[in-house]
Amino acid sequence: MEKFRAVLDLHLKHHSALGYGLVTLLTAGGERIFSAVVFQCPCSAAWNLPYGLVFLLVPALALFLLGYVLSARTWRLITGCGCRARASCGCGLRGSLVCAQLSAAAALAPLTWVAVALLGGAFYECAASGSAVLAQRLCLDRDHSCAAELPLVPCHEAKASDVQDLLKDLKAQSQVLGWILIAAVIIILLIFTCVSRCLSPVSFLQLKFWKIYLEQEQQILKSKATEHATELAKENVKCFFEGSHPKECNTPSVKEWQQISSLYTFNQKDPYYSMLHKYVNRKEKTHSIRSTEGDTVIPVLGFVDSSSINSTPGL
Amino acid sequence: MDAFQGILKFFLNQKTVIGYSFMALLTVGSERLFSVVAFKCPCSTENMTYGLVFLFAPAWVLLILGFFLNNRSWRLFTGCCVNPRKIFPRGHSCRFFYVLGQITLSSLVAPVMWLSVALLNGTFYECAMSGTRSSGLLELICKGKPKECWEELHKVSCGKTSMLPTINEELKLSLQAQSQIIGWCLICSASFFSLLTTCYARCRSKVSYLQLSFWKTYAQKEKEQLENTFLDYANKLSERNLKCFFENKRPDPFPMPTFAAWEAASELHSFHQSQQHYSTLHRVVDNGLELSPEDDETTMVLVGTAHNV
Repeated sequence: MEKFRAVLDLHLKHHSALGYGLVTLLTAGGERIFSAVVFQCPCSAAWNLPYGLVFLLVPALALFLLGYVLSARTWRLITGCGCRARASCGCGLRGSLVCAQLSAAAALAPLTWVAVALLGGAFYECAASGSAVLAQRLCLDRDHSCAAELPLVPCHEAKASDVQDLLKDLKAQSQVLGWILIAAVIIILLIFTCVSRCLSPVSFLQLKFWKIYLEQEQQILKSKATEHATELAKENVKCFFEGSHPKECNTPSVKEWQQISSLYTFNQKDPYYSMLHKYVNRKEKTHSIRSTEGDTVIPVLGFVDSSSINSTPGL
Repeated sequence: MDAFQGILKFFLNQKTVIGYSFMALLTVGSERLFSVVAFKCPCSTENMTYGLVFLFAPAWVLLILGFFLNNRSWRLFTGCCVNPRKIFPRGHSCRFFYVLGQITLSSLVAPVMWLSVALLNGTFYECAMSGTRSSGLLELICKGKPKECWEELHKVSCGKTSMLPTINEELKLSLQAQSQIIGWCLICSASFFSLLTTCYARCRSKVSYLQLSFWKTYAQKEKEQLENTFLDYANKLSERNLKCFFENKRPDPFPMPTFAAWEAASELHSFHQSQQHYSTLHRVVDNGLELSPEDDETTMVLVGTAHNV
């Protein structure tokens, strides 16, 4: 039991790192399967380049859109946007900051796909062998048949052996590009994380507590919502079958739900840990917490919006 | 059962050693994987770029990952733009660089492991060196070999030169030998350097050996207690909030540490001989948020700015 608890604690402490690691592994595995099973270079001058580029970029685009769909923050931003006033929809600087953060988080899986695909080499070999510009550079010191035979190189069908050897060059270029992409992405990620942590208005320990608080709030919200929903449903069904009038149930109103579902903004004067916390501690009963002076969107506090009843914490 | 408990306790005591061994195994494993699956020397003029990228890009990635996974770096950086005095206190400006240096040194372990394993294997270095165009290095490698060596050295890894197979093999083996020598030298110098720095740090330590062991145990226990207390308080606070939301009631007051207290507790710890506090939390709790005579202006400036917020 204690060992299980230790594993669970490890999971809770590093769940975002584990989540990202899992996404990376799945993407890398998927790419290997695609490249081994599905991908067959056509080896023709007209089709190599489009085929290779499609296999390289289209799954990346699909993963990018999937990243948006699976983020709870996207839905928090979009839900109910049509009906409410424009100001609360988060347009202007606030909305664009949130959008930028969402895009950066959604870009992880596509970049992993492209990096693993480049390290594998098959897609780039096919695309580059069909490109006229690269053919000129590669075939610089060779005879005329080189440019004509280059598209056949990925299928090992080129007759001249020195042209077939260009396959190794293409693979090498692909792998070097892949490593440079990985190195560049990781340093940019480090710089952005450092800058956003630097701009954080709260200290290290408070941030740590904040993350733990949000997880707990999410869990308890889920259990309380389930409990409340069960009670309400039982009452309604019972009254329907018995034809009686349901007793008064204290459900939060539409306005209250809207208030706690809006995007989190940090206020230096009253630092609350979530919109729910802010709402519960508001000064007057009819006061709206939607927009007060001093509210700002802080990049490092983006994790506050990522919580939802149905998703796994933090992912 | 007792024997099992004993074994488990032994392993838990050797956590650092096990951690480093695991890292070493992981590095060896991934180096073998790369070397067998992904690495194919192109045997052209691009050899040098290819070999160097495969040697240094994973080392770079491991260095950056080391920064990410080190808790001290986030403790150092969180909130530094908002309150720069926190990391550059008056009279202690070098502390930031000292801590940054410590973090870098501990992050350098994994890249050095990768480089040593990669150099001991020899494939990456062999490919990189065979693509060299520097006349000095070519002179060194091709000494006493036929003149084709100067032009066709880059094809040596694939065995496709026009020289005799024995000479080809000789060149390959000499490049691999150079690589392994450099790898061993790297391992030796890195171990010696880490021994020197540990000895120097222990020499300059203001606490004795047993007190240091106690300190480590205290730090571990405090960390566990802090996490348990965080969980407990977070639970209670969120229960209160959700109850008030669903039942539409006003919330009862819930005592939490002040903003200034959080800021003070998140500082990096430094040991003062006179006061013997084992962590920042210990110091904050003992001294309260008032100044103690030994403390310099750093705390005053911090508390001052925190109250202005």
